[in-house]
Amino acid sequence: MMETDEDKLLHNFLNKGEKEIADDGFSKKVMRKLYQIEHEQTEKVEQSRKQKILQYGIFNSWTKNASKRCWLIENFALALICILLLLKWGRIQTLIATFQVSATSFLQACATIDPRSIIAAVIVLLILAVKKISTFA
Amino acid sequence: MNKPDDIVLIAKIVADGDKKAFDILVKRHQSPLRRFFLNQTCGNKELSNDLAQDTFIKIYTNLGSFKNLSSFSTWLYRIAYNVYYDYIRKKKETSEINTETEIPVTYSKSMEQHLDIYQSLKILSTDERTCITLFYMEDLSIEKISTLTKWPSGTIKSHLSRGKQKLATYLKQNGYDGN
Repeated sequence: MMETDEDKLLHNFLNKGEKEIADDGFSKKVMRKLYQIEHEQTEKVEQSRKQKILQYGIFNSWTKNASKRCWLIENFALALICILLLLKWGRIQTLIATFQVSATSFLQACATIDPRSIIAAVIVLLILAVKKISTFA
Repeated sequence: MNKPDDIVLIAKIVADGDKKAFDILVKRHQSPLRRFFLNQTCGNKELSNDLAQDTFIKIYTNLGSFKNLSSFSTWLYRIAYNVYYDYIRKKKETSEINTETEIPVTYSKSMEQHLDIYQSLKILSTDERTCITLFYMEDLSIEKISTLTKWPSGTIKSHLSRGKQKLATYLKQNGYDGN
């Protein structure tokens, strides 16, 4: 930028005043403000930390009670199962006896079957299978 | 040898939160910063001190983001500029700025001279005043003003030319011939 008469005029006018401004306690004020802000911030952090601890304490006690509650429920369920087993023991015994009877009768039936009739049944089944396969071809 | 000293102080503040180093930095840069605000506020001492204080607090909290790409003083002016424009924006939101009602209080012994300077600065718009004071009083180049205001150099040139014309006319009308 070329310096014109207007530039010179403004330069002279605007730079006639005092250039240096004395501190006059300004820096002290800034430092005081800075300490104040930092103090406020640490107080805020401390407060939020306390709040968190309090919240954690509440949560912790709640979880402790919850585990106690769970333990009670577990024990109650176990006791109930035992009572039911005792009450229904007769029915369970009947079921076991029925199973035993049916199993023995099945085994007995297997032992009394005539081997010739088994062979005949197998042959008939084989013929039927061959016929079925031939229909696919 | 001003720059390396600033860097050493900044390193101390960032690394250890050294308050003494920051105090030195404040003492070193308070004068140009307060002068900048005095010019922007047309001589309102209290307001300029408050804005300068806010600027230094911002500098302390954001010192970690100073990358040393530009000089510390340019960075300082950038923050000061932001603080001032934030203030203008907030002020505009609540009410229109009425600089006529502000009573200029100065540090100068030559009260009349300063009163004239601040009175004359009042005839400029905020942007023109920023450009004129940074260019003629703080001797910053157009490039540096562009860096700290983030305006294109063309905009700064036009603000300068308009402001220069307004001020020159005002001074001539009031009998100032440059002597």
